[in-house]
Order: sequence, then structure tokens, then C-alpha cells
Amino acid sequence: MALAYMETLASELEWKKGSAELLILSLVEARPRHGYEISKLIEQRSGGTVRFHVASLYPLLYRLEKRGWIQGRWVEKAGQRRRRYYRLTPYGRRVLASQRRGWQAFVAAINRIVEVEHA
Amino acid sequence: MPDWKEEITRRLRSLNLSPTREAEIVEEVAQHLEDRYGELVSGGSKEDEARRLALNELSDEYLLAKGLRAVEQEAPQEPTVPGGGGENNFLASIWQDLRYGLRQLRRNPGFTAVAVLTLALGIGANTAIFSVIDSVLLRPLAFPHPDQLVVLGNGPGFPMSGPDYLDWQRENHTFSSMALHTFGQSYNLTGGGQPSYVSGVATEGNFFSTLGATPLLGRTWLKGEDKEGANREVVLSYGLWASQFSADGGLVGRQIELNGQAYTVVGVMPQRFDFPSGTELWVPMDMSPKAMGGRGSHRYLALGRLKPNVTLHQAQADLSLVAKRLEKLYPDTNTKVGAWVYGLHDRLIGGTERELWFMLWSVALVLLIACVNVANLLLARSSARQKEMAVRGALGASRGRLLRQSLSESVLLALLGGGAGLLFGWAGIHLLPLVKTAVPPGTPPIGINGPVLAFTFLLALATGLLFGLAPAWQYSRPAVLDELKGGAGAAVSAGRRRRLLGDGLVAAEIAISLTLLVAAGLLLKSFVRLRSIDFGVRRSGILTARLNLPEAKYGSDAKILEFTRALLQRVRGLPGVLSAAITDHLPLYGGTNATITLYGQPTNTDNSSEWVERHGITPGYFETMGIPLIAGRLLTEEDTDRALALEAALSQHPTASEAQNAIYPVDIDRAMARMFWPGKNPIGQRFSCGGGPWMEVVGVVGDTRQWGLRTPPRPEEYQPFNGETYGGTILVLHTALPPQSLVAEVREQVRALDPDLPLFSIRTMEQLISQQTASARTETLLVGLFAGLALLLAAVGIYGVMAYLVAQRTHEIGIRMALGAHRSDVLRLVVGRGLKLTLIGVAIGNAGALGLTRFLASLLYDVKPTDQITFIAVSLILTTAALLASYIPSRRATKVDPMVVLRYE
Repeated sequence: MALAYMETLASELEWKKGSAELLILSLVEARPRHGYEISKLIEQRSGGTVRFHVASLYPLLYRLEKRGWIQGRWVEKAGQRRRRYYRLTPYGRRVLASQRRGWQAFVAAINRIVEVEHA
Repeated sequence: MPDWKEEITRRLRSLNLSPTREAEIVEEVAQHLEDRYGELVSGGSKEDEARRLALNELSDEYLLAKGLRAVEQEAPQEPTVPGGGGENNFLASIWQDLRYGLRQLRRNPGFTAVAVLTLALGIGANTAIFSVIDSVLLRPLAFPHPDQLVVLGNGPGFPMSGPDYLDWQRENHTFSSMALHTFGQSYNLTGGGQPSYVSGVATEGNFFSTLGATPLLGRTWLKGEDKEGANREVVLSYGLWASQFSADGGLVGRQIELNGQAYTVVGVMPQRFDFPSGTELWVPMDMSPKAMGGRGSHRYLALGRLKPNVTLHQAQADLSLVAKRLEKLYPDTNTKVGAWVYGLHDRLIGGTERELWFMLWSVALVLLIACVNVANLLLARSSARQKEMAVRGALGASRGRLLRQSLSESVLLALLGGGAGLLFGWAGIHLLPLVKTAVPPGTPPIGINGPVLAFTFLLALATGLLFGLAPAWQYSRPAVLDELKGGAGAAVSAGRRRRLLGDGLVAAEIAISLTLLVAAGLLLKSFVRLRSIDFGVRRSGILTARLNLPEAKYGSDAKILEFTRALLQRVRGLPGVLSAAITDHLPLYGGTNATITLYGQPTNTDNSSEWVERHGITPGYFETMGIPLIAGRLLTEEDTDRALALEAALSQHPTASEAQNAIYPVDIDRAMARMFWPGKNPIGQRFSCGGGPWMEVVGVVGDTRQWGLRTPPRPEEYQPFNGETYGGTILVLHTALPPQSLVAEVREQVRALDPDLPLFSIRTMEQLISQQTASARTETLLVGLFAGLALLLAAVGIYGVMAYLVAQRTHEIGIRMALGAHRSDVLRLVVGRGLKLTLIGVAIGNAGALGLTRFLASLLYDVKPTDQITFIAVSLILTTAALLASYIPSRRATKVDPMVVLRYE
């Protein structure tokens, strides 16, 4: 039982690490968003299946920013406190395109394997 | 509203982020928690519950810090202030010092460029000279156990007698082998296209094995090949094989023609084998006693290999013992004939060693001046950085740490200078053919190699420490509080200390450059004297060329004479030729000599041991060479005929009284007349050379220098050229045209007489003189170059110090001028100070130069090492340069506007 739990946890971590970058890049593709907005969107669109804690979301955002994939900027709007918005850089856009292709190929491959064979 | 920030800050504490960065992260994450909290509350959660859930976002206590650590610590850290602790990790702190130093240098590109360039000049010159020293003096010979190889002779530079050699070989106990060989001989190489002249040496059978040399192709001598009648083999040098035979691998075993006789090529030596230097081929010599010649005939060279662990001293003692025994056995020939053993390497480098070390000392002085200059630059900069150092000291940096920081900056500078210096050195070696002319032939190639790199690196390191010490000492003792307060008192005391040090350095560099300039001045004066020596011979319009008349074709004196007369007739007929003659020796290039017996005088007079130079010349020689007739008459064709007839009679009836009384007509020079017949009329006097027939003086001619420009004229006798050639057959001609323009026509005339006869060593008299003065010219040019560099550096140094002085005292000058001082007063203030420093330096330099130029004496000709005119002239030049260098900044000082200065204050 304990072994089965460990295996689930390990695969979940692997899965998250690989796809988390893709999720964030996809979410800031259309327009700049701040951290809380990004985490809400991930939770909503995955129907609550995928969630990021603050402790993992912000280190990830800073890492992507350092790689030059996204760029953060403090923005002040009237009557609100200032927030940090992240937008996709041209370099990040290229990375996103390539990750997206890789992901689709991967999913298609997995699907071909796991689909029920028709006799 | 909960205070998120405190929660977050606590979690980030372990990361030691910069305050700005930490604040940013805290703000962003707090905003996130705030949003979450607000959402939960508006969704109906109670405040406590909402707070707990929001904080859950941070997960456990350490997760945020863990996630951030990986990202944030890649970020560039704020620079750590050097001098602020970190003593626990020595290497890391050195690295930190170096990086900080590099940043400092980058921040002052002008200063860095000047310092690096100055050092590069000094280090580059040292690298170039050291690379020559490395290859000439330090590299062992390319033979196995080279320290065992020695050259042998019957005295220093006195060639070996064949029979003596055979006795030495038999009776010694200290040599594992000895080999005899001849001087370089001319060989006409014919059979393949143009006839050419090559230089060859005949050697004993064990010549190559004694040296430990093996051939590239084929073999060297077999046993018995150095016996009579068996010596028709030849080993070629790599150069000859490549140039004349297109490096034909199939040449071994084939025959070539030398001096009209067939020789079989048995081997080719490797490219690096060059012994004796310049030899192009080796043939086995006839070692039979008959071929060796008489015991009194010294015409061979010998080399030996010492047994392991035998010293030169032991070998010398061993052979001296044999020589003593021979002296007793053969008193006629061996009285005062000794044995002489000398290391081969030392013999090959000859007098070059002293010159090269002298050059290295000169460039070392240039480098020292460069160091002083950079030290002064650093010192001037130290005033600007004194505050920085004071702050570091106040923050707790130890004196040692400050010293190290400062030193690592100067070492860094020096290493940069060393790198650039390597480039200068490389360029020096490749662009200055001068460096190479100082090299004796047969030296391994000169270049930047391992030892030279190591030398340059160590030199740069030492340089850095040397010029870094003064400023480092300055830095490491800042008067902390005074500097921080910026008080006038502090500025004055620190400034004075710095100025004293700077002044001392300037005086020192003036002193050093004076020493170098004096050396250059003396060498220049000596060179000019050497060039303008009247050596008794016309300098321009003379062409000389050598011929080698092979014995196979020109076996008798009569044949040689017939050829030379025909050649002279043809050459004299060429347009532009004023006169022509044949001689067996050229002036300046040595000769053959003998002791003489004066007619009607006992043999053991005072001057009976004096040597007389002997020449064979054809009529026209004195006119061609421009040697004046002083008394009597010159030799004529009739004299030649008479001499030949007398010789023929002597050889047929050596005992006949008329042959016994045969008298040769000769001309002599004034030196000979003065030495043997002082106060008497030399015309009609008789003497004999080494027991030969009597000779009668028919004329006296002007003195010439036969043994080089530096050797005064010696007694010389000129007898009719009779075909016997000890020193070669040399054609000399005097022309009204440029001498070189006649070469082709003269060659054509030789070819018309004998198509197989090459004309070689074609030189004008100017070229012969230049060859003689080549090493003096190299020394003068190089030392002159270094001295010029020293002068330039010293002037830059003085300029720097004066400019700094003016900058420092602008305020004072402004006040003085406001109070009524004239521009001339200001000029006097600045220039006066420069002059004072210069005079101190000149005084010290003169004293130093007086002590040091003694070592130059052996390189000088006709100039005393303490030559007053040179000392005075150099002192004046240096003082003028120094005055100019301090005049420029002083002009700037006079342009100070008092109002501007005072307002600024």
C-alpha cells in the first residue's frame, strides 16, 4: 500500500514538472496575467484537478522569468494595489510553440497505445 | 486584515536576499494571499478559517524558501567589499582580490593602457634578448653527452700538428676518443649544371662517432676509409643534399665530381647537424704518417670526447704531460708547444656570451625604469584611492589584506604587461634581424618556447611585486580617521609622504637611464671610431672574389700562374676596370705568418721571436688596394719571373751555391721597417722566413691592418705571387663603376678560361668592412635602442610626476597668482623642482655609470669607459629632456586662473 502511494506521488511530480511550464506559458500567451490569476485559471480550467501552491507557483514564475521566457512588470491601476503582471516574451513564444507540439505528439502517442483496440 | 508580510519574511530569512529583492517577493506573494483571503471571505468563510486556508498556500514552513533558493541564488550577488573579512578562505579571497583588481583596471582604461604598454615594452625587450640567450648559451649542443666534448690544440687557437695528435691519441688516459679534421676547404662541385663552390672538411674515420652523430641516410665512414688512397667517399650535409640534389633519396651510392675527381656519396647528415659550422660535405682524410706532414706543421683541428666523469682540468693535465714528453723528444719543433683542451660548447659560443649578458643587463635596466614609471602612476592614483582604502581599514580590513589587495592589482597589471610583452618579444625576434646577427652560426632556432615563456611569466610576476610594493606600502598605512575627515592636515602629511616616494623614484629612473645612455654613447663613439679607422686600404670601388684552382687540373705553380696571368689580362681589359691583381690574403681577414732571421745577425736577437705576415701578390696589387709606396719601388712582372726562375733552380740543385745565394725581391710595410731596422734605410736589407731563401727589401709601402680593424698594423712582407696559395686565390680589382655591376662580366671572363671554375665569396671592400663591424653595429644599435627607450620612459616618468604635482598644487598656485606671483615665478616653481630631481638623478647616475662602464671596456675601441665627453653630453641630453618634460605641465600651471580656483574652493 505504501509502495503504491509513493509511485503515484512520484509520477504526479514528474508529470507536474514537465507540464507546469507549458501551463503557465499557455496562460500568459493571450495577455499578461498576475500570479493569483494564473493559479485561479489553472484550478478552474482543470476543474480543480490541478492546483499550484504559492510555494511552488512563484519560484516557477521567477525561474521562467530568469530564462527569459516571460517578463514580469509591476502595474498600478486606479484604486488598486500594484500587482506584478507576467507577459510572454518573443523567446517564450517560440518555446511555447515547441513545447505545445511536443505535448500534442506525446498525448497522441499515449492515446494510440491506451485506446481500446477495435476488433 | 492578517499581516501576511511577516509570515512570508520569516520564511525567506534563510535566503539572505538583498533587501530590495526580498521586498519585491514579499509584496507579490502577500498580494496573492490577500486575494485568496478576500475570495474565501466573500465566499462565506469565517475570517479565521479564511486566514488558515490562505496560509495553507504557503504549505509547510520551508517549501517556499526551498523553491526560491534554487532560482534566486543563481542571481548575481552584490559585490562583496574586499577588505571586509573573509580571511578564513585564503584562496577564495585571492580570487576575490584578483576579480576586484580586474574591475578596477577596467574602470580606468587610460591608466591601464599606459601601464600595460610601458611594462610590455620592458618585458618584451627582455623576452627577445632572453630567447637569444636561451638558444645560444643555455641550450646544450645537439650531441649525446655534450659536456664530454672538447676541442684540442697545441695552444689557445693554435692548430694541431698531425704527428703530435697521433702521439696524444696513443698516450692519453682521459679520452674515450679523439678525432682529427682539417679546416674548411673549398671544393668545386661539378657535373650538375652550374659549377659551384662548396665548403668541405676532411675528417678522421672516427669523427662522427666521437661526436655521437648518426646520418639521416646511408652511413658515415667505415674502418679503413681514412687510409691512404682509400678516401674517395663523401657524406653530404642536409642543405647541400636538398639544394644541389633536390633531396634525392636515391643519391646514396651514386658518384659526384669534386675538384675534378669522382667521389661516392655514402651518406647524408640530418638537418640539425652543422659541425664544423657551415660545412657542406665531409670526406675521409688520409691519416697516413706521410700525409700528416711534419711535426712542426700545425694545420689541423681536433676534437675529443672525455671519458665519463673526467674533468677538463684532468684532461688538460693528462695531455700537458704528453706534450712535455714530446718537447724533450723533439726540441726543434716542440719547444714551447703545449696542449690545450677547451669545452666545445664554450668554444662555439666564443665571445658572444659576454655581449649577450651585457644586452640582458641593458634590457633589465629598461624594465626597471618601466617598473619605476608604473609605480609612479600607481602612486599618483593612490591619492585618489586613499579614501577607499581608509574606509576599508575602518571597516576592519587588516593591513595585510589591504597590502595583498594592492599587490594583486599590480601583479595583474604586470601579467597583462607580460602577455603583451610576449607579443612585443615575438615581434622583436621576428622583425629585428638585429637580434639574430648576434647569434653564432649553428645555434638552435630562436623563438618563444617553454623556457622563454617561463622566463617571461616569472619576470612579469617579479615585476608586479617590484613596482607594486611602493604603492602597496602607501595604501596599507592610511591614517584612517584623517583621511575620512578629509582634513587638510591629513592631505598634507599623506601627500608629502607620497611626493617623497615619487621624487625618489623619479631620481632613480633618471639615474638608471643615464647609465644606459652612457653605455650607448660609449658604444656609439667606439663604433664611429671603428668605422672610420684608416686601415691602409681604399674603401670604395674595390671588388674581391675567390677562386679555387683544383689540384687535379692546376697541379703545378706554372699552370696556376698561367691561368692567373690570363685572367688578369682579360679582367684589366673590361671597361671601367682601373687595375686588377691577385693576392693570397685580403686585408682584415687574417693571414699566414712566420718568424724571420735577419741577414748577418745572430738568430736570438730581441725581435727574433716577432712574427711577420706573409703575402703573395701580383704586380698591380698596391695600386688596386690604394696602398701607397713610401720608399724604393713596387714589385714588377720581372720580379715574378726572377722569383720563379730562382725557385726552379733551387728545386733542381738545392745545394748549388748560386741557388743558395738566390735572393727574392720583396716589398715590406712601414711597421716591418720600424720593427727590424729602426733608424736605418730598410731598402737593400735582407732576411729569411723560417729558414727559407734570402729575401731583399726593394720597397716600403704603407701599413694595412691584416688581423681585423681592432688590431694595429703588423710587420708584413709582400713577395711575388708564385702560384702557392695558403690563403686562397683572390682576385681584386679597382673600378670607377659601382663594383657590383662588374660581377657578371668578371664571372664571364673566368668561364671563358675554365667553364668548371666557380667564382665565390664575391664582396666589395665596403662589405668586407661591414662584416668586420657587424657585431659592433649590432651592439651599438641594440643598446642605442634600449637607451632611447629608457630616455623616453624617463621623460614620461618626469612628465607624470610634474603633471601630478601641478594638479595637486593648482589651488596653491592659484593663491600665489592671486597674491601677485608672475607666470615666470610659477614656471620657476615647477620646472625648478623638475630640475632639482633631474640633477640629483644625474649625479647618482654618473657615479653609477662610472662604476659600471668598466665592464664595457672589452667591447670598446679607442674609447675609455670613463670618456668625459660622453658623460657630459649624455648628462646634458638627459637634463634637457627632463626640463622639457617638466616644462609642459608647468605651462599648464601658469594658465591657472586664480579666480576660478578660489571660487571652486
